[in-house]
Amino acid sequence: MQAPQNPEEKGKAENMLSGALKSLFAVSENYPDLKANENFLNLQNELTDTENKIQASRRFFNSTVKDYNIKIQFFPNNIIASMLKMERKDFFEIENKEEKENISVKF
Amino acid sequence: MASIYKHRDQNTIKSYVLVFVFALLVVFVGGLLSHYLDSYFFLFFAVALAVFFFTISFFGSGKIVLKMAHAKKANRKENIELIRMLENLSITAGLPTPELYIINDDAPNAFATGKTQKNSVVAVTTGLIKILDKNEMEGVLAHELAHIGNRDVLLMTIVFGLAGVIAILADLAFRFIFFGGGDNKNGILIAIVGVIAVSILASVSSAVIKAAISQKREYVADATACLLTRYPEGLCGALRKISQSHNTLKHKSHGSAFFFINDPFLSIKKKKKPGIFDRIFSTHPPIEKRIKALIG
Repeated sequence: MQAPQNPEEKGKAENMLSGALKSLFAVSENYPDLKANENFLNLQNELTDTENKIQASRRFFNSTVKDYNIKIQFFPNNIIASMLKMERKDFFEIENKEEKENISVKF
Repeated sequence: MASIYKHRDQNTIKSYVLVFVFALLVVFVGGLLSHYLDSYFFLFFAVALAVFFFTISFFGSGKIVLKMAHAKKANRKENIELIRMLENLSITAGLPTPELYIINDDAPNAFATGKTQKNSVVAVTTGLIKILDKNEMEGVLAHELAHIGNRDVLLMTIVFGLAGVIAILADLAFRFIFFGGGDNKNGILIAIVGVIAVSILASVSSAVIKAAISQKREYVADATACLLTRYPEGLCGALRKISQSHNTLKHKSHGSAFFFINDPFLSIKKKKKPGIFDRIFSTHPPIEKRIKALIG
């Protein structure tokens, strides 16, 4: 499996990761001994933190892209930008609509 | 969020204008003193001293500040949640994660220090950890990160350097009149009055400008923090809780290298409402104004 190159591929990879994690947590509900295990709890925390870090990176990327897209529109930056062929970049989008909904925990 | 962008940009511009005015004031004071004392030494000295101060303080260390506050470095075993919070906020801000230090003190407060973004430190008190919830703590950490990201420590070092120059100039001018001076006996009275007036005016306006710049930077940091967390209610809740606390920090100083999130010298017990005197000379804006600027 090759490392993703452009933002679109990276977005897909990240969505696959979140999907896999959701399945992992859902399946572990059926194994109460596993759920209570300290190592597994640590693993869950680490995985959740990794997801949060990825999300933080995505927010940083998007806010930088937004600032960049705005900046290259105004004088005198717009002249320099068109000279150097700098274009508007795309944001990281969330593909899956389910991702945007809050995750509900039921017992 | 549009008004928060505007709030941040306006205050950024205001703070730079104030620094420029301050620099002009230093030159002006040097020039006036030179005029009254008939010696251009003062003007040259003013500029040279300012450059000297800036160079020296730039190479100083920020770790002394931590020792004065009795701060201990946080470790992953005990403070993992806080460290993770700080790491994730730093990623969102595009900054290297600062080191986290804990201060054992019941007064809720936090500060950031560090002249370069790579060597920065954020410290929080145990009192703060006790009373804030997750969103509020995120707001506070984001505020401190904002100070680091906006290079406020650097800016305030310059400002304090300028204030120090004015203080030394005033002092020198005094000594020059009484112990040095030329043969001009007629002009000596004018010189004394002139120097006293200039010294007093300079000291007062230097304190006012210094406070004004510091307050503007606090507004900028608040705005930047809310743009980081996208949740202004978090920081506002934290500010409210901090302002209602009755504790004051045990170890505090007027040192220039760090930014507490709220004025550590403001005592709640004595005053009911900060008067005009406090508002002009205080390093932090009043909390109600800060909250109002963020959530209206």
